[in-house]
Amino acid sequence: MFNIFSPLEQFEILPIFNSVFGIITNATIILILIFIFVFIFFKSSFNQKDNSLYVIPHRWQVIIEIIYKAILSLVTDNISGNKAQYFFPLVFSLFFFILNINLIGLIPYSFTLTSHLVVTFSLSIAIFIGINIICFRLHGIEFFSLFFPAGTSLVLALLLVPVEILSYVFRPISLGIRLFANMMAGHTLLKVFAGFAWTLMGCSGILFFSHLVPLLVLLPLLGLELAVAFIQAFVFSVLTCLYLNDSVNLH
Amino acid sequence: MPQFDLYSFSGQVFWTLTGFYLFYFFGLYFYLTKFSSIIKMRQKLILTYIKEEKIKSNVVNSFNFFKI
Repeated sequence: MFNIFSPLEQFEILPIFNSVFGIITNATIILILIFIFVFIFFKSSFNQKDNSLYVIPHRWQVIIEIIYKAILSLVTDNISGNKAQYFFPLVFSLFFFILNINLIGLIPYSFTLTSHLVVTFSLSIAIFIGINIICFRLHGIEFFSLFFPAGTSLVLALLLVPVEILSYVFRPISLGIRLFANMMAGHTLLKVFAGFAWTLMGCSGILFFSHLVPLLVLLPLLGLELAVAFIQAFVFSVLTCLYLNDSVNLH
Repeated sequence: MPQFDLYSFSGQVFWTLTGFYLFYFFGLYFYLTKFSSIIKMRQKLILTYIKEEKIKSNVVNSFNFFKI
């Protein structure tokens, strides 16, 4: 007999062992693996002799340079003014961090960190707090003009200001929930189809052969999830740029 | 839903934020500066080569003019 597991079982946080930093879970191990992977990924693009990059790039370096230029154009397109490049390392790290988490989550039997609300929320709230600090440092008390669109009459402001405050407060919430919901829904769907195929494989006769149908559906779904991994990392970065632009250049 | 198991929240927040900041500083001080400088250097080299080639082609064109 086959045990039928819940599709949500894959999101369970399992303690592995205790350490000086606290309990090490499967999520922590995935985070450490991401570090090792990224380190090897970047290290492989460097010249091993003198730890420098090649003027005529090789394959790995070309891949990283393409991502570098894409993120640079994203930042300069979305953040107007001469301060755009200051935020490039932040947006690049954010994009690469989320992308790696999403991609490693697609490997069977691994763990998707971004399918946990607390992870996406902690990222979005940390960014939100950072953006507010930047805005206060740049503009001081003028920060509050974010909630008061220019040229608005006082009567209309009574209605607009609460709406603006509400939309501003909901920014980190929507940023976190969007990533979490997309990743969780995709992985649950994959698990449902895989479970269906697995159950049919345990049957005899014509039902055994019908397990190919959910397996064939699973393949394009995996491709879709791959696209979602990239798109969600990109969307998170674009929205961070837009929020940064609002705080740097007040409307 | 396992996502709402409160006991794991503090650990996850700590590891996510620590991981992200390490990722950020690692990028800022080690590889991003190197990539930025190599891209700028390459751009400069390409511009110098283009200038040199233009000068050469101008010289060749002027010789052609005298021949005609």
